[in-house]
Amino acid sequence: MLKRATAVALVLLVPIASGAYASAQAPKVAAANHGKKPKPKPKPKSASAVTLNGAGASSIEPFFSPVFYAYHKANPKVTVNYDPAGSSVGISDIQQGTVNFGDSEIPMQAKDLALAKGTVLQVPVDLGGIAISYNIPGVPTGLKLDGPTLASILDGTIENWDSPVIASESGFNHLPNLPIVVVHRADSAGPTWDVDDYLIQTSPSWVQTIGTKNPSKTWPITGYGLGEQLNSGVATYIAQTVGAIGYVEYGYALKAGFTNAAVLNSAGQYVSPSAAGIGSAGSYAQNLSPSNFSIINEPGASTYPIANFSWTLLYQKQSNATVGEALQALFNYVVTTGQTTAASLGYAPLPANVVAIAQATLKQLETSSGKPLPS
Amino acid sequence: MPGTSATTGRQATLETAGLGRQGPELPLHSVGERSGLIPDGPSPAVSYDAPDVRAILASKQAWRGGRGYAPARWLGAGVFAAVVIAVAVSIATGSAKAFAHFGPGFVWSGTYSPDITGSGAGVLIVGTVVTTAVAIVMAAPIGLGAAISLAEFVPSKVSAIATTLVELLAAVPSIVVGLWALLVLSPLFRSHVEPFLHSLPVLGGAVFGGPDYGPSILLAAVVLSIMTLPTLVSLSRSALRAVPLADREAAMALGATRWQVVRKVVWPAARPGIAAAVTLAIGRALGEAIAVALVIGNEPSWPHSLVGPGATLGSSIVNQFAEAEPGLGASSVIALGAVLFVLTVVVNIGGQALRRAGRTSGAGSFAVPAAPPAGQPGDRTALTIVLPGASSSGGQGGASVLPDGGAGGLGLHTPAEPYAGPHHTLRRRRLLGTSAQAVCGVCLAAAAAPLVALVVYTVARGAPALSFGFLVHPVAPAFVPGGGISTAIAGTARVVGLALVMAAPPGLLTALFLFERPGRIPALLRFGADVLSGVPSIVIGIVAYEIVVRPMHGASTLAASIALAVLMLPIMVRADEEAIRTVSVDLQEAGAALGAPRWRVVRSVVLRGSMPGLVAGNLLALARAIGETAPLLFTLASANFAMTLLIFTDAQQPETSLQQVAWATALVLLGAVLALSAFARFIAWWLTRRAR
Repeated sequence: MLKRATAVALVLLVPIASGAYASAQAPKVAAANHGKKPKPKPKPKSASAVTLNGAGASSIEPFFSPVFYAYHKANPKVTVNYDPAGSSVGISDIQQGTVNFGDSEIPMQAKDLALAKGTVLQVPVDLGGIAISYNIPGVPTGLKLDGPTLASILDGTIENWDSPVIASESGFNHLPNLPIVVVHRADSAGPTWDVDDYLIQTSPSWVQTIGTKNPSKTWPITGYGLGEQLNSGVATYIAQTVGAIGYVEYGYALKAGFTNAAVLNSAGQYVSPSAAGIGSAGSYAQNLSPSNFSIINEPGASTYPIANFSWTLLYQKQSNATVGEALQALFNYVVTTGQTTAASLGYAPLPANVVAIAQATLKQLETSSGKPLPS
Repeated sequence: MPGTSATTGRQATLETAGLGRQGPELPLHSVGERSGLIPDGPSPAVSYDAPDVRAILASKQAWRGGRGYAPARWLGAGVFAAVVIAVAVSIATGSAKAFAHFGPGFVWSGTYSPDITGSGAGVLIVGTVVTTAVAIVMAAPIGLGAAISLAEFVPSKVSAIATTLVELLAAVPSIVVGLWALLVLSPLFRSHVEPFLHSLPVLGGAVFGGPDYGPSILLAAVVLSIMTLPTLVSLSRSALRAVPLADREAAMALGATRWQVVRKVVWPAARPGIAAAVTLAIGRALGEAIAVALVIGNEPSWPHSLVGPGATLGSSIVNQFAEAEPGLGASSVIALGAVLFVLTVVVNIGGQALRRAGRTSGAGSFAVPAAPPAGQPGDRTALTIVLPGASSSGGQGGASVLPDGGAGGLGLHTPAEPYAGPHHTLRRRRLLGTSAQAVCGVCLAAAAAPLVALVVYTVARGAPALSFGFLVHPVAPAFVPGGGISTAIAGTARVVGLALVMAAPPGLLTALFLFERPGRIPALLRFGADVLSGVPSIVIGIVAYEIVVRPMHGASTLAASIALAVLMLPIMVRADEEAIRTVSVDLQEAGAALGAPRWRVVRSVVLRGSMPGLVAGNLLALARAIGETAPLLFTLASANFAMTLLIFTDAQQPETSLQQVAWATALVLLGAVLALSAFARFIAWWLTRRAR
């Protein structure tokens, strides 16, 4: 009886014990679950070790992930978990107060800020572009698209790649007879807003089709094309589907080795996405602010027309000073040292004026009693 | 195991393991589910006047020394009731804002849009129902054919092994099916299946029109049918096996072929159990969210083609809940959860009711209502054979005697009475029988093929990436090469272990409460268990978010394990109760007769006797929890903290190296779940053997 009871106890305890063992093995992971509550609980000894949880745009993940990793290597006591669940998740999680920081491709507007639990600081942290990627065998590169043609493809006016409209614009004799498969974001997303904005500015037929001049984070066309979750979902679908065309953050397209269309900019040039072209778009950002954030269809011959800044969202009042200081240090690193890796990852380094804006904003972080954090 | 009745050789293997005996049962619940209070052993006539003894057992005297026992049971039952109420209330309050804003029209309004304005669940309900219907239309015939084949035609040893395999496959996590469907089936559908369907005359345009995307309603339905098949097969097989052997023998003695036995005797008697199996499969298909979200194409508009993209309630919750803005936005998504909750709970309660009805009133009683009662010759319709359950006065599932007056025609020409129906020659009957057996065999192969392919494929893709380093290194950040999955394994172990600690004690105490007390409260609690076990796991995820994550200002291991505990609780209550009920009343009475107080009887007789079933049931619940993705989606801070979530994210990455990680993680997960399921069966068998 006793023996058997022991056996039973053992059986039941194995998973628990292994869990406990695993927690001991991974102290950082365990710490994640303490550091996450921004309660004014004074941390006893582990004051120096801190885990920062964030969620938001998937577009920024190819940039954030290596930068956070490098930061963790340089500062082993700071662990950052970033959940690339989408821009809207970043906004929603900040509003709910379930993360230490959020991130959104489109900054929070008055309507969003009204739902937050306090003043939210919005810090521009990266400069990226949206690639129009396609998968047409035998057409490795060189597809050129202007607004109206892109609109016709995305709304289903043109359903086959052999359309003479596409071929003549790109200077091809002919394109293969292949059905076009349009893939767009299923979630509410920054890249959708950017592409929608570009098409609204350049294609009257698009405005007519969607019936509005206000860009939207949700894909405005229903009943045509396929929705996929996040940049990764769209990219995966393009990669495995012959004839597909869709829009993804250039960082993803670069990593996946996609072929991207050259898009007509406002100077009349067809420009492929590149760090230089995106950087050129960013350089036209004057008086950048959360309410004046668009850098779609900027002038300049080398400018890639579909670019945007990504915004990190932080509560101004940080009830836990340790967390607040860690956030401040982390994002100061991101907007300065972190930018040096941007170009290799498919982003452009932030222009100097934007870095200044970011640093000035980070300085506004304060404790819950309103004292500025030492920075 | 005490009170084991005589069994046929075919059932012996499972029987000794204390596992799913006759009677329609979910594999998860199939732990020693005999209603032991009515011994179906050799001599039901000798049974004691049970109520009196129970009264003695429950008398004040018996309580001396065990004061804590009754309050503990009440506490367990109270916790359980609180959980059920909390789930229902949190869904109701969470969705209240949306229903107040949109009115009841929310339910049927067609224009669903994620950005709230003009939301409605109509499109999604249609998507959910269509997907499930197509899935069941595909799965039910195949599953039933396979079950018939397993129960009636396949040699008993093969059947025992195959049945165990099917029950193991029922534990394959839906995320693994989803991974396989997304990376293997979806491209296949786009390149081959959908173009073929287009080319069909008439149907090609009407049902299978539109461009070939790959992800589609049809693919989601295929995934759902693959996922529901093991459950369907194993439940239907149990229902078929529950038909007493004597009935088959009687029919055989009348000259029926094996197929005729199935068709005229076994099938009608097993019909309620099979109906329950199909209903429960429908419930599961309605509630599945994660795998569907991966392959349905996420297009919330009226479905116009089966190969076009669509969306279901579950898939929309997966995609929209996290990003919904606080207030009306979040409330609208919870309202989708409320609709899904009602839908699945209604279906599940129906299924449970069918299942219970099929069990308590002997196997055949309402399957063959036309059967004449014993003693009356009745009008012998050619196709009727009277089943024992119909004539012997209810309740005695096992005892079987062919009543005198009832041996009907079976469609055979008997000299006693001129037979007016069509005459079938022996040859024709044999031919029919052989072809029916062949069809059932094909169904068995068809049911097994996708699951076997899935497992083989996962092994083939995952094994190359597996190494010691892979298991012990933490998950690398995305876009940083290298790394392993140790944080994910540890995370899963922690979440599931904590959930087990939280769910097992109240589960057992609630089961004891149900066991000890007759009356209305236990009936209510059982109803609660039916409701709770019908709640889709994605809805439990939402509830955990509302109850834990939001107030605690952050996702955490605790939140995730509470979600899993809620998921496991009804499974455990039911499995525990069924295990406890296997303990023979005689033994309990013997204990009481020796002067042992009730708590002592429970500890030394009831718990000891039901130990194999208890352990196996809890381990199976654990195996199910390990494979869950949906409850973790909104409750863990990062996908790196659970294997299932890691698969979910990495499966959707374009990089083959990350897909490789997904496959290898799937292999580890599959191994863990299957090993745990197999271990549960082994430990039950081992404990039973030792108890002898």
